[in-house]
Amino acid sequence: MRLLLVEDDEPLANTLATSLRQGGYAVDWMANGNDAESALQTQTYDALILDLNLPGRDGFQVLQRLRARGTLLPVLILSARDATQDRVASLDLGADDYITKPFDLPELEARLRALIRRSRGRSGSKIAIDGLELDTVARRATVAGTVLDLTAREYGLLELLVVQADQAVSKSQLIASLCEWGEEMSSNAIDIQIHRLRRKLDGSGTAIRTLRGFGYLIESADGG
Amino acid sequence: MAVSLQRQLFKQLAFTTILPILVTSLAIYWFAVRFANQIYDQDLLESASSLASQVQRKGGVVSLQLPPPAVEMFVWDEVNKIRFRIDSKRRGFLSGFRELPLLPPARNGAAIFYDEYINNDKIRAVVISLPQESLDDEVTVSVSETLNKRRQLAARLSLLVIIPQSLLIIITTILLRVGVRRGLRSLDMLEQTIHERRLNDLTPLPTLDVPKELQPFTSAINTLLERLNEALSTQQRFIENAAHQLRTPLTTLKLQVEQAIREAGPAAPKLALHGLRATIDRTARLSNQLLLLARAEPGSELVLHMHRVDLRALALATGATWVPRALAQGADLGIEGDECPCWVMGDELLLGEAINNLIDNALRYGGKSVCVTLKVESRQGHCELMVEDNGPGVPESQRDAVLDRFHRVPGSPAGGSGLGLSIVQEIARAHKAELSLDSPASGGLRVRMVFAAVSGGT
Repeated sequence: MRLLLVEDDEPLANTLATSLRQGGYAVDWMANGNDAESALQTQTYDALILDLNLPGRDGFQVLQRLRARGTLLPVLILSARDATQDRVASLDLGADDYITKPFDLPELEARLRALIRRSRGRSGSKIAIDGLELDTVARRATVAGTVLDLTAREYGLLELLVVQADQAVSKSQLIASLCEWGEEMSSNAIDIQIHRLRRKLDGSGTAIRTLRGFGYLIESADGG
Repeated sequence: MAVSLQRQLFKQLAFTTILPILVTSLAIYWFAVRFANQIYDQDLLESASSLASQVQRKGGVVSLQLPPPAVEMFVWDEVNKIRFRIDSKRRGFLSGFRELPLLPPARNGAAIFYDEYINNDKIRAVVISLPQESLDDEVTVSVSETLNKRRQLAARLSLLVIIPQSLLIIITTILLRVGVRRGLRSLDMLEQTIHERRLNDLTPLPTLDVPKELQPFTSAINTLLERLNEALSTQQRFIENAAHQLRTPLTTLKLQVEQAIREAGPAAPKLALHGLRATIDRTARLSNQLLLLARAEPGSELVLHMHRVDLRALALATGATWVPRALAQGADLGIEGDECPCWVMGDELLLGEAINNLIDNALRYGGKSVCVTLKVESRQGHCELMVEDNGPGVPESQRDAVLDRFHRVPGSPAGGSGLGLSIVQEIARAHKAELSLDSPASGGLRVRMVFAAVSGGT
C-alpha cells in the first residue's frame, strides 16, 4: 500500500515515514504543497496524510484541488491546529479524518487502516480483518475460505462494523446506514440482528462487543 | 464625589433664567403700586379741591358753609376712614377733625402730600393752601385717608404678578430640566452602550449618533479598544504559534520513542523506554492543558467561539474516541441519558476538552477496571453533563482542593498533571456552567456540569 505524506517538519516526517514503512506501507514524503500536487498527479496512492501548515500552497488548497479533480483518495489531516473551525473547514473540503498533534502512533495507524478499509468498501475491493474477509462487490463474508451464511441485513451490519473496526459504531449510525438500503429498523431490531450475527461469527476469530450507549465494536475474539 | 454634569448645567441655566424673572416681577410690582398710589393721590387731591371750593369770604373774613349732611357725605367711605380739617391762618381751626395734625402747606401754593400716623394708623394726607391776600389770611385744606384701599389694591396687584410669574418659573424649570436631560441623553446612551458590552466585544463604539462634543471621547475609547484588540490578538497568535511550535517536536519525540520500543523487540527490557514514553506523553498532555487553560482563562473570552452545541452529540462523539483506550485497560466506558439533543451555547473545542479531561481523570484514577458512565440530561431549561465512576472517589475534604491547579489527591496514581479539573473548572466558568463534585450512591466520583439550555430551533 502506498501513502503520500505531506509534512514540512523534516524530523517528524522522517520518523513517521520510518514507522509507517515498518508497518508495511510504502511512503513518499513531500515537504511542500506544490511538490505534493505534482506527486498526486503522477502517482496513485492508497491514502494521503496531509499537514495543514505548509510552505507555498497550504494543506487546505492541496485538499481543495484534489477534490476538485474528483479523486476519492482517503485523506487524513495531520495538524497542530486544534481549533474547531480548522477541523470543520478541512472536513467540509473533503478530508476523511482529522488528527491533532501530538498524536499516538497506534492511533494514527488505526485511523489510517479504517480510512483505507472504508475507501475499499466504497470502491468495491476486498476488506480483511483477523481472518474475516469481506467481498464488498458480491456482499459476501468468508472465514478461511468458507462463506458465512448471512442475510443481506446481517452482511450490511457486518460491513459497517468491519469498515470502522477499532472504532465504536453507534446504533443510530447503523440504523441510518441500513435505512439507505430501503429497510426500516428499530433500535431493538438492531439488537436482534447483532445477536444473530454474533452467533454466526462464532469461531471466526472476530467478535462483536457491546458498548454501553456507544454502540458496537468489532474486535479479535481473544479480546485484543 | 463626582460632579453631575446634568445638575451643574441645570443649576447654571436655572440661575440665569429665573433671576431675571424675579427681578422683573419685583419691578412690575413696584411700578404698578406706584401708579396706583398716584391715582389715589389724585382722587385725594380732588376731594381737597372740592372742599376748598366751599370756602367763602363773608364780611371780610373767610367762612365755611358746610352743612352736617354735606360733611357726612364727604367723609362717607366703605373702606377708608376719611378725615379733613380746614384752618385759617388768622382764625385758626375752622372745621373738620382735630385729630388730623395741622400740616404745613407748600410755599409755592402747590398741593403737598404727607405720610403720617394717627393713633398708630398710617394715613396719606394732602394739603392745599388758599391764600386770601386781600384779607391777609391763608386757608389750608387738609384731607387724609387711611391706606386700606391702597393696601387691598397692592395685595391684588401682587397676586396678579405672583401667579403668572410663578407659572413662568415653573414652566421654565420643567423645560430646562427636560432640555438638559434630553441634551445629555446621548451621553447616557453612550454610557449604557459601554456598560452593556460583553467582555469580549472589542468592536468600536458607534460614532454616527454621538454629538460633536463627545466625538473626541468616543474616538479615544475606540483607539483604546483597537489597541486592546491588537494586544489580545497578539497574545492569541502567540498561544497558537507556541502550540504549533511545541506540538510538532513533541509528536516527533513520541514517534521516535514508539519506534525505539518496536525496534527493541518484545524480548528487550523495556522499562527505560516505557518510562521515556510515559514522560513524553505527560509532557505532551501538560503542554496541551496549559494552552487550553490559557485559552479558557477569564480575560481571554474573545478567543472563545460560542455556537449552539448539542451537548449529547458532543458527549457521544468525544466519549467514542475514548472507547479503544478504555477497552485496552479493561475499563467499562458507557453513555446514558436522553436520546434527544441538548442544546447549549458553547465553544465546541473547549466543551470537548472538558469531557476529555473528565473521562481521562476517571480512567486514570478510577482503577484499571473502573466503570465510567457519561450522562447527558435536559431538565427545566438546564442541560446536565455528568461523568461518574465507581473508583475510589475524592474524599469530601479534598473536593474543593482538587479544583486547584497542580493539586493532586495524596496517594493517587502517578502520571497526572493536577490540571485536568482546573481546566474543567475554567471551561465551566467560561460557559457560566455550574460545576460540582459528589459521590454517586454506588461510591466513586461524580462530576456534574450544569449549563443553561438554549432552544433547539434552527
